[in-house]
Amino acid sequence: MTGPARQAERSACGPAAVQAVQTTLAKSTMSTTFTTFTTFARFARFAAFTASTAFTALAAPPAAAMTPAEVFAQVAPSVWRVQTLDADGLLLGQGSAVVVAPGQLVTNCHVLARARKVQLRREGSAAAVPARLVLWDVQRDLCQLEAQGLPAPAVALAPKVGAAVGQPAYAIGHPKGLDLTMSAGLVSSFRRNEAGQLVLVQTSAAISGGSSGGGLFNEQGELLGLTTIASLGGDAQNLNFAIPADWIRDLPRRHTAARAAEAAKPVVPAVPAASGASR
Amino acid sequence: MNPEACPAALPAAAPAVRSAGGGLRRAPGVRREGTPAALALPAVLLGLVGLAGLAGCAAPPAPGSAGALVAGPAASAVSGPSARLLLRGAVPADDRFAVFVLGDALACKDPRMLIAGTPQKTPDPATLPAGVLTTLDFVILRGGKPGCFVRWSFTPQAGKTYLMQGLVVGGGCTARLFDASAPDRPVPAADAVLRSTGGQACLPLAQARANAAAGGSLIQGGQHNGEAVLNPRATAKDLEGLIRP
Repeated sequence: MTGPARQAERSACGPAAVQAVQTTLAKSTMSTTFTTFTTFARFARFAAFTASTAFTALAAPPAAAMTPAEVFAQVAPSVWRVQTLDADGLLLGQGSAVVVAPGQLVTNCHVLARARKVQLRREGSAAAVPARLVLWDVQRDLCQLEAQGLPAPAVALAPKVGAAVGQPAYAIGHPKGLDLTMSAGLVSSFRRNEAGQLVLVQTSAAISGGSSGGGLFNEQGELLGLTTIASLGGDAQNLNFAIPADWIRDLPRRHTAARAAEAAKPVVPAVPAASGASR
Repeated sequence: MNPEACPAALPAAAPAVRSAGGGLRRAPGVRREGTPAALALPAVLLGLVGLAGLAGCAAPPAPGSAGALVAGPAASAVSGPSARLLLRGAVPADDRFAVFVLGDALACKDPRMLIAGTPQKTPDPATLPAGVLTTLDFVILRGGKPGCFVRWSFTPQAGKTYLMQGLVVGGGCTARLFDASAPDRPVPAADAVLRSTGGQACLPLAQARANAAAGGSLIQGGQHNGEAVLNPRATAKDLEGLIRP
């Protein structure tokens, strides 16, 4: 997270945000159940159809696509504004975070840079919810916060495979302090490293400063990634990037491995400064 | 070889991510697993090459460009302060590798072959005028035709020795320009900037310099311990205020 351009990249989606939330866990359970039921029902119909027509090549049926409004209604309760504070409690920056398990949210680590305290907010809620950093993977710019008792449902992560260029994508976050802003676009591309491994999901869904750590969702309301990098400058349009949701699955393992490696590092005793110059 | 040498094989230009410090640097089909095939190259060089400079394309350049070029006598025609250029390549047995110097270093035009080698024969050093912006192409020649290139710009310093080190990786190639004045401790040439990146064959110099200053773009990602990462150099230092012992 160094270098001027890097900072520029980051600042595009760094500070800013918004939000309010009053969703209950009960509500989340209901929506989850509904989704599962819908999927199951479709599968049952599909299975019956294929059996009757002697199809042998079975594929998992796609989950029902929701309208953008339905996606928003389902996942917005899980997208929170992250506020970082300095040692004096002054606001340092803002970003977004997505609930991925009860009381557990993921965001970009760069949102949390230099903070001493973190809190979560949503529009309409007077009190901020304190959060603490529990897992981090700075090389992937992925951090996990814990906020006990957070009244918010968890989103589902998109399957490892299945995303395709051209499919609809929706970004929800808190850009420029505008609470729960949704933008629509497409999965524009998949950016890979030199080894061909997926690094970023490129999207035309607009994001801005404060979107960092927000969610990029598919038509099923599943999390495709966390919006992380926005293009800047007048010669760029709709070139935005999200770290893949799959990295969220890896976070506990990578965090543990990194901490273990750190702990295993030999402690190098301080070498007293040589006294007397060489002769 | 002209700037349009092999645009078809490069990803479409992402002109905008400029401010992001960079371009989308990717060689289609390139896999890091291919790197060990570079065999016999010093590990340090391989590491450095792997870190940056991966580029190239599989499509041959436009007919009549580099393919028609013949080695010129430029190497020995330099008068005044000069620097030496060494060339090393790790390529399949039937391929050749070469360095072209571009007459118009800014616009990446007027290529002329400077030196060439084969896996069996190390090319003789070339001489470059010092103090002049120079753009060089590392080129893989397959069947006598350029099949992949990586373009670097820099200003040679008098008395220094530079090394263009390239290799074939999968369907692409990678190359890096080193200051090899201390031959056993080559270091990336201080002011060298990659011009063939971001989906462009001739990235504007200012943009290439901005990319270099930023250490590359996050968008190209990286790898650590075999796993994909966004920024291999990131540390948790910025999170110290939140990490509880």
